[in-house]
Amino acid sequence: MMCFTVGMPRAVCAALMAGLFAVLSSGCSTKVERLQFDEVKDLSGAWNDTDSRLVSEEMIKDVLSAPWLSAYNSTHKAPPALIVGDVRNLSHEHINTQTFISDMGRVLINSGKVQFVASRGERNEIREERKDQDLNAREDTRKAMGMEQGADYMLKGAINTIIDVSGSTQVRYYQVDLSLISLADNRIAWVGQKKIKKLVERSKLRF
Amino acid sequence: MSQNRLLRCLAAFYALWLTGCATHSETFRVVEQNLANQQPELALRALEKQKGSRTDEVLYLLNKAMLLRITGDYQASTASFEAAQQRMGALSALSLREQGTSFIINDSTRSYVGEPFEQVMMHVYKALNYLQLGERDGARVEALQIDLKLRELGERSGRHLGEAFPRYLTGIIYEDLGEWGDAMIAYRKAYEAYLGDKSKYRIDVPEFLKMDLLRLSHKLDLGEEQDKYQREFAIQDWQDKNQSHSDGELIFVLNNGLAPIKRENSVVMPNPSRGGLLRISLPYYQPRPSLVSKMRVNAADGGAEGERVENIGAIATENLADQMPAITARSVARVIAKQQMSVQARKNNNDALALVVDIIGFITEQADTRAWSTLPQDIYLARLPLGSGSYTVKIELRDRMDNIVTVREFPNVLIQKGKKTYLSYHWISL
Repeated sequence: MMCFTVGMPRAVCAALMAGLFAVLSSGCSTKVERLQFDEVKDLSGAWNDTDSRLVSEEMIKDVLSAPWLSAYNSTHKAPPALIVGDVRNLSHEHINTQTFISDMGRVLINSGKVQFVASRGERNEIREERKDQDLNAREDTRKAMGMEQGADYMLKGAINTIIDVSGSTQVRYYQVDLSLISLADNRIAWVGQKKIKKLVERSKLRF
Repeated sequence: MSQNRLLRCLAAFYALWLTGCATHSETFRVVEQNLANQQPELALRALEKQKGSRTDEVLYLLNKAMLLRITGDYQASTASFEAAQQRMGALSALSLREQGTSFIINDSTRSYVGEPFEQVMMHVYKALNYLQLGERDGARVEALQIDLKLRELGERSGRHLGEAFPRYLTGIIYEDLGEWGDAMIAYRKAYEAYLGDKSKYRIDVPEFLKMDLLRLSHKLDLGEEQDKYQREFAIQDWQDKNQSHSDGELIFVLNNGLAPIKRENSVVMPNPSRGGLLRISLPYYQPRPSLVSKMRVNAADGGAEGERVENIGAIATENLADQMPAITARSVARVIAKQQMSVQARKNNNDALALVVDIIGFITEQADTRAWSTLPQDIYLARLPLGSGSYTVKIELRDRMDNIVTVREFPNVLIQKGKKTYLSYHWISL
């Protein structure tokens, strides 16, 4: 090697080479690996896509097979209209509750067994549009105000956590509660619950 | 070129190059100067230029988040805090490689994970970011994180520094959400912490915490506890003073000055056994007391005096004092190890190598002066009950002699009935 030719001691040479190697290897490019959406990959132990998917799947199965639906159908012609209220994050982490709400919404609407009406934020946007139509749209295409469908039930809930820590070991317990409340009389028609428990052991050593 | 001459040359170059690398606190001065000139954007740009090694990433992210807060970009600030938290988590494991390098070179080669009190303060400022954005559930997550962090630190070391204000803030957050039980527990713990801090950090139990304790113990029907507080605080007419709580409230947080800066103290002495020089470098905190020691918040006809709720300067100093024995031991061990290497080289008749080891050892012995120095020196808090409406909020900052240092105005502050509105300001001068 080059440094041997100028007569440098072995130790110094090795140190220089090691330094050079470190510099070169840090220049390695980013690696990307594509995953299947339902593949389980737990990295930090925090709430992730797998939890979100498991919760929504279980809740959908539960809400569609619960007796409230057949009871409603026996007295009404049209399927019940649902609205998604607030799903509060009362957990230890910043969780995006939108993913499993939209997951649930999609499957529920496509099942044809229930109808969904737009949530409060969406409604305001649509009303704006209708107001705009009133001024600018052709009369035969104009949509009238005051013709919105009112929801029969509101779906709302919360995510709670309990975390127990000792040293580098953590037990993380998530509980997601959803309830379906009748807007007519505040009756709770259905309660769904999904629990997830994880044991997270953080590594004591790193590179 | 002979081997010796080449080595001497190399050593001289290395020495020149290393004297060029100043300690962390020296390079950070530009950022602070910009902050003192009320130019946080420039400070942010200066900081981004200094984005250095992976080992200092946590520090960079914490400082960046703090500067983004000062510029008013709370969302970006939260994102930066979040990144810092992720990195801290990854670094919580012990790295043998870093332990090894720090033993040979110096403590600054270890990854910075933040002092325990800094880790807690990170959640405090993250919570304040959420509160200022009006996202109370987000702030609640941080309140839970503060509880968790304090529990973890308490379990590890048996005690933790600077617990009082973080506890108090979690109490405010829980109470704001109507979770009276949790709020009461947090207020109680804050009260205990303030009592413990009183002599150490020269901080009194804030008057508004006393009111909170009385109000909540009454609300939760804790008669005995309420009597106890009433006796301890010698307050009888608390209900009159608490009347206004059904209206809206302004909570103003003043971040006062900058946390003390870590400097290096080097002792150079002749090596008694074999000539040459030995150097031991240790960090110490240079206090930076702020000019401001009083705050008053005015809006419409009402006004409230601010109270000092946290003395970060004193906490940082105590934290370092706790660690000093370990830092000193590491430093001494390092000097001895370097000496041994040089002795070994001389034994093998390799004087040139011994010289290089001596020089490098002498120069690389630098103290670890890294610290989250954009934290304030202390925090003041004022709570002002206000009816709903839009206000122009004025704050007056005064010095010890009661002279006005500065006056600031915050126009169009919206107060909603039954809700708390949060405002903060970071006052910096060098």
